[in-house]
Amino acid sequence: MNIAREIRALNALVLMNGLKPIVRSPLWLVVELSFPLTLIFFISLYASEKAVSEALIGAAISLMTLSGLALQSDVVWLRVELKFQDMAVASPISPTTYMLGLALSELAYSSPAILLIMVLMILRGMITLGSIPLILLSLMLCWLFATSLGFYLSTKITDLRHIWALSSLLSVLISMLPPVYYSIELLPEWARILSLIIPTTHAALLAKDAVSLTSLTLLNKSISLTILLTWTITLTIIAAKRSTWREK
Amino acid sequence: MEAVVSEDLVKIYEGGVKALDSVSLSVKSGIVFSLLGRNGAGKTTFLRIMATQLLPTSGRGYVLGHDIVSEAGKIREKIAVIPQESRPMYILTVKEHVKYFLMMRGLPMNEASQRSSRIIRDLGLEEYSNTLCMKLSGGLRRKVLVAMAMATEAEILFLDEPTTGLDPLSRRLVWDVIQRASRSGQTIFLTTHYMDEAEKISNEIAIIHSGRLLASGTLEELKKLTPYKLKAEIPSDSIRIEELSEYGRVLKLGRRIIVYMADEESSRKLHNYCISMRTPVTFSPLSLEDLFIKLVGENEYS
Repeated sequence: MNIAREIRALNALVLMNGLKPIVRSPLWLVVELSFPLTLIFFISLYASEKAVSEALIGAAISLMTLSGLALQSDVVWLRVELKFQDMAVASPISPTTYMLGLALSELAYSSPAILLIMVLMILRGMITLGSIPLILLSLMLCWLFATSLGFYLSTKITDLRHIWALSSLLSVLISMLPPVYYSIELLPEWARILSLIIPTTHAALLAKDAVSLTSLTLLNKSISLTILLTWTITLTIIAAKRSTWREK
Repeated sequence: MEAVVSEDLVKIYEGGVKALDSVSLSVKSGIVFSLLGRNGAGKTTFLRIMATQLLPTSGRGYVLGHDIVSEAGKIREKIAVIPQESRPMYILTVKEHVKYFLMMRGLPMNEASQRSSRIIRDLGLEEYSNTLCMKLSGGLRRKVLVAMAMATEAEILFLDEPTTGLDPLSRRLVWDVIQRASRSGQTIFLTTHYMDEAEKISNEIAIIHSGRLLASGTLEELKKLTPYKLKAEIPSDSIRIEELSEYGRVLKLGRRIIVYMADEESSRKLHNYCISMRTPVTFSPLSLEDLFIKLVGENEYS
């Protein structure tokens, strides 16, 4: 593998699908920010200070997850509408680099919003130096998990309308419904158990633990990290091995 | 060396549609090769298989000596493709498209920038270099894609109907660039509907119909496949078709009757007959289009 070449390919994809479109259509940055900020606003109207802090953590996790899932629409659009993926397949770029490049380009849209959420968390005194590694790890794993899931699904779907529907559904199931924006303790027992299947629940638990919004035992922390890692590694392998790059 | 070789290539899509039926074809390096066929003939399927975008059902294929199934990675280093009906991203400029595409293939930014400027100039796109693609006409957008593929300087360029939607002058500009690329040693494999395009720029031509290869070779070689050298065109409402068969092979195409003739003697006789019948007639040498109509027409109606 030629690292310099891979970096150039990633740079090209980020520029063409992320930075240049953002500069020419900055409204997208506001769109990215509007969803989590609206939720935080409503939560701040009705709930406690602690709930607002939980919502801020949830917003960061949700933004990373949605950024990964947003890959689905772009991959299908580039493949079906523009036939750009055909040009990429018949070129030296690998599917993994292509996926990563497009995923990073999606992250370019979410980055300002995530940065703002982080600033708000710092202003509220939520983040300490010691909490940063676990927060970053949770966010990165969420992003990688959602990216792999998004890329795998997008290579199996040929109609853009289907992917819009699927993307919206997954967004709700992975980032809205589970205890990401709110505390897991608010859920009834059966729902709590059910939510533990979802990787974003564990990312939220770990990040909330890092900022002392909840207190996980070492065992619980290890379990959450293991589940999150298992999801991420499994989906990354599936995306790398089972995604359709060359058509059959 | 052979640039593209296929041996008994078969493609059956899910649902049982047979797109390619045992296609064996060989394309020499450094030439412009055109694959002709009607819509749905199998041109794009063949191109996509050889360009490693699609797997064949059976048969073998080689590009620059590499197996299309097991050595796709090696092939992809040496080829570039313009897919049929592809479109540029509306929110990028012409130069950005070419430059980023080259970078995506691994070129350093400076080299990508220089190469993109050069190809943009060669294709007459200079005045649009910094224009967003959303502001370009359909033909100019197609030219951007041609520029992207050409700028790669790949050993083989697979171009699927590259000039569709271009005005006559732009088509000629693209032809110039294709021929220049071929002269510099690149192999161009293109599919087209335009007979004049294939006739003017191709060194070799193949005709495919319903997934089967009907003919392949230089234009002169293809013309030898038929005993006819001349054709006459007569309006169908002015003459009885049965009376023409003694002059050559007769084909009715809509409101026209085409008579293919083997020698000048037959054409002289037909000329005299048409004068006696006060019927307009046009004579011309056999073109690629005639050959195509004859080959495909015979297969269609046989």
